[in-house]
Amino acid sequence: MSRFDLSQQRCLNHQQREAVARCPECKRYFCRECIAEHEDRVLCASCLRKLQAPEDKKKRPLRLLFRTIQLLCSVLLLWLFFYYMGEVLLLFPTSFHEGTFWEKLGES
Amino acid sequence: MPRPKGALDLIEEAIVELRNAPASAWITYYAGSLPFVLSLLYFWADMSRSAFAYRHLAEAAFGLSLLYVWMKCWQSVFASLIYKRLLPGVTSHFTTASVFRMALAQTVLQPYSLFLLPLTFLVFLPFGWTYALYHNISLIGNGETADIRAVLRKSWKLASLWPGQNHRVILILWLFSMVVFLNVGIVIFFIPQLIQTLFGVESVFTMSPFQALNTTFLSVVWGVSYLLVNPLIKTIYVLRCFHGESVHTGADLATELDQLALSLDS
Repeated sequence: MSRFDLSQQRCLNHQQREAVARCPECKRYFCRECIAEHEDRVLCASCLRKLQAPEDKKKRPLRLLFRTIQLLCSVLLLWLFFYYMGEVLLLFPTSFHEGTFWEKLGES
Repeated sequence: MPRPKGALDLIEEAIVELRNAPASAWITYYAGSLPFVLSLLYFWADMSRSAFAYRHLAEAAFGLSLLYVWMKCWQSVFASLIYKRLLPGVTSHFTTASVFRMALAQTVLQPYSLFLLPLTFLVFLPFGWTYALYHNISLIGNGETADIRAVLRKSWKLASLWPGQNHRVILILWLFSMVVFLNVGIVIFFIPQLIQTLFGVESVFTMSPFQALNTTFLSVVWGVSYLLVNPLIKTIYVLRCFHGESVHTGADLATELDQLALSLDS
């Protein structure tokens, strides 16, 4: 039997209790009382606190920079899409855009 | 995992929701989509006809990009309004912070759909999941959470739910869209013929039926069809999200109980 088998584990905070879940963040085992559901994941109280804690002030400028880069990349991507769409439209001859291309093709 | 609703049942439910939707939801949808579709049609006609279009291509593409973001934000508001109507006692409210978060999520995530959807359509197999993912992002990225990765994770989770139902819905919607496209095309094509019969006014369409193959005409038909069909598609994916989340929250039971209580009261 694997040593990670849930039925063989005890709660980290309450040794007398059987574990019912393993926290996916810290990989430790906990009883029913020590876990909570958060965004469809079962987390222990300390990991949940860490996730919900206000952002580290030191990390804020970095995160802001990262978001700005993400935003600029997306706008650039959009612009490129429409720019090349325009380029492709400009490439086709006027007879194709006006539908006369098919008329001529039908005549020949 | 409970059995999902049938594809036709889901579409029927979406039609009922749309028919009962308040005017504000419709105004919200068209306030976002109409400017983008009109600008796209203008852009298309300009690029395909004007000899000097290349001179302002960069600026026009940038304007269109901004209008695309504008449309996606309003579509997100529309999806939220429809979703909140499904939850009894919940009213939708947007704050400055939530609008900012929504704009951020939609701007960062939605542009990739313009590349990924055609790409996955060519590969064929992952198209259904990608299509559902981007419709779900419209709802999940409505500004309730600031974490873009969480929006993507939740949208993906709901998109990968009940793939059989999702693919059947896409197939039916594709056929339905084709019928709408043909209907709109026929109506727009026959309007000049009708004007000629009634008032004797000649136009390019009455002189040559081949004019129906001009790209501006086809793009106009596409634009009108998109504006007609897209609200239904958005509502279907809002319902899929609602039923998917209800597996954990039981919100669908609460809604049914609420409706039952209302019918007993009356």
